Amino acid sequence: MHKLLSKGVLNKGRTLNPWLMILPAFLILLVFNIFPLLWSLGISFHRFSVIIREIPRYVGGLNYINVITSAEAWDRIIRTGIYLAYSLSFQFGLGLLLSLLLFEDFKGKRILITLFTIPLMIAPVASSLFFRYLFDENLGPVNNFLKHVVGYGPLWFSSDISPLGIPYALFTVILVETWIWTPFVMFLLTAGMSSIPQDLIEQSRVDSLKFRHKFRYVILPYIKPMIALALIFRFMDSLKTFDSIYILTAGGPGATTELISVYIYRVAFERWDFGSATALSYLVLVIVIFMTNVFMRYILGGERS
Amino acid sequence: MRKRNQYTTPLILYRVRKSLKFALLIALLMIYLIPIYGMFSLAFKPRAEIYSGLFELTRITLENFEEAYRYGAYSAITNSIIVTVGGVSIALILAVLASYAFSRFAIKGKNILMFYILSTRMMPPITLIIPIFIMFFNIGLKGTYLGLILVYAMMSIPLSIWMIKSFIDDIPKDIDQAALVDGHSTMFILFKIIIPMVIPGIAASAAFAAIMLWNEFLFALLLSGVDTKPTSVLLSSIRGERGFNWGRVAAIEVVYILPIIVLVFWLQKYMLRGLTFGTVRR
Repeated sequence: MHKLLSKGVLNKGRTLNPWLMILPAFLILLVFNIFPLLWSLGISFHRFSVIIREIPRYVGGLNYINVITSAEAWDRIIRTGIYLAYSLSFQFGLGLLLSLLLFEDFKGKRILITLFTIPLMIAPVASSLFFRYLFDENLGPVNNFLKHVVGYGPLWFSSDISPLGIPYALFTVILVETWIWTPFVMFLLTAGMSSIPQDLIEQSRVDSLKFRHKFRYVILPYIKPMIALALIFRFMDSLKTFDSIYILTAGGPGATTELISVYIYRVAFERWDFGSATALSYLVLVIVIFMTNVFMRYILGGERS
Repeated sequence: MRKRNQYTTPLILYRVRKSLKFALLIALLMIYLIPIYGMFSLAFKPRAEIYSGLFELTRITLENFEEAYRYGAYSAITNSIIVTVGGVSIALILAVLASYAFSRFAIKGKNILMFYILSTRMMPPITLIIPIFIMFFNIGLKGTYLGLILVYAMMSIPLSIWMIKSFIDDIPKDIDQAALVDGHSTMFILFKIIIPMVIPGIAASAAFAAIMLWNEFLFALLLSGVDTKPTSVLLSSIRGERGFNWGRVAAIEVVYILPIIVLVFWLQKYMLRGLTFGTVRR
């Protein structure tokens, strides 16, 4: 099949140019994706403020220098790093646990998986808004429950430091993101595990392998590509996290939960400093591309899934 | 299988362990779905009982839905439907054409083009939104349905191309070959032979794109106007109000997420492709 395709056998005898079929879709991408992307790069080299209606002025790499030397931007980047570390480890830890629990076949496994994927598919805006009710500091059901059981309910949206060493507001954001995204990891890992040959599982049972060894030598090799894939997707999307933070805390209190995407949004649409905002978003884009390559190279070891 | 197991671990232990695992799984699921259950229960609760326990649902009322209706939920849902259907329809028509070409033709630079399309998934939307915002502001598309629909088409074309291509790739190329030998045109082959075979796949791709657009927030927040704001923006604007009614919020949310929950059950078969942009298939 691949041979046929690469030799282009199917081009023969066709009168229609394939480019004509691609063109309409490509035009939309050109106008609303490639063009804005280049324009954005252009803006990042200009001083550009909308409120005072000044004419964009070319300033060279000044915006980039400003962003790189700004303590504020670095603070947001570090916050984003902390957020990434916690939320990705929660998601992968819990996702792995769930997929291991779902390892063996049983009746109703499919429906169970489906139920788990619901949080993933519904709008983050809707679920985050509901979490604001659940975690309401005075009357919310979570604190209501905690006050009954342990006699104390933390201020979930404050900058008080939680036992994990991060402010509660950030912790709440991480909690909600974990709730939304764990099924994604679970789903990919489950798919990876289902590709393990049945004889191998059988053999490990006959040999009564310890779980530790079974995981290391039977399961892990098969789910490795899926872990890499999940990591790439989760890394990219975590950097984009906007909806849930905007709804939960709007970046506050202060700048406690102002992660990079919320920060860029604020610089652009509250300070109307488009130059710095685009420069910063280009830096993020470069980081994403760089990290994706790193993940691909080190975890997949060059192989493609 | 079980017989062999008797040699390694006692059957009783094996069964206990298995049921413990299952119990843990169910417990986790319960905890996991509490927020969803809570949303539904809150939506049907009388206003006075909103903070009195999430689980007791003593009296069911529709007053929250009436209030949500008065609050503008109806027009927000309508707007969501308009922009989602508009975006998905454009994307679908264009993506079917493109993905067939990508699947069946040898095109120069195909890999680069496909990789570019995939890479749009990586771009932080915030990179695109500033130029698009300026563009729409200047040509008067800001606040219109058309503007949002075009951006949504742009957002869902990559997902649709990759997914639909993965379904078309599954169809043997001999079928095209045979039709070509019979003297059929490319368009005939695509619309009369290939598309009917991948209808479920196209429907699944459309559903994934629709869910993405239905849930979309950032572009809607900046590009929609007072009359064209979709549900996600309506919900976010409630957030800024003081002392708002949670019952009403939950009612809007229930109407907003119910179609998705229904779709999820149907989409289960295609979930892996949908989540991985069609790059992993089974």
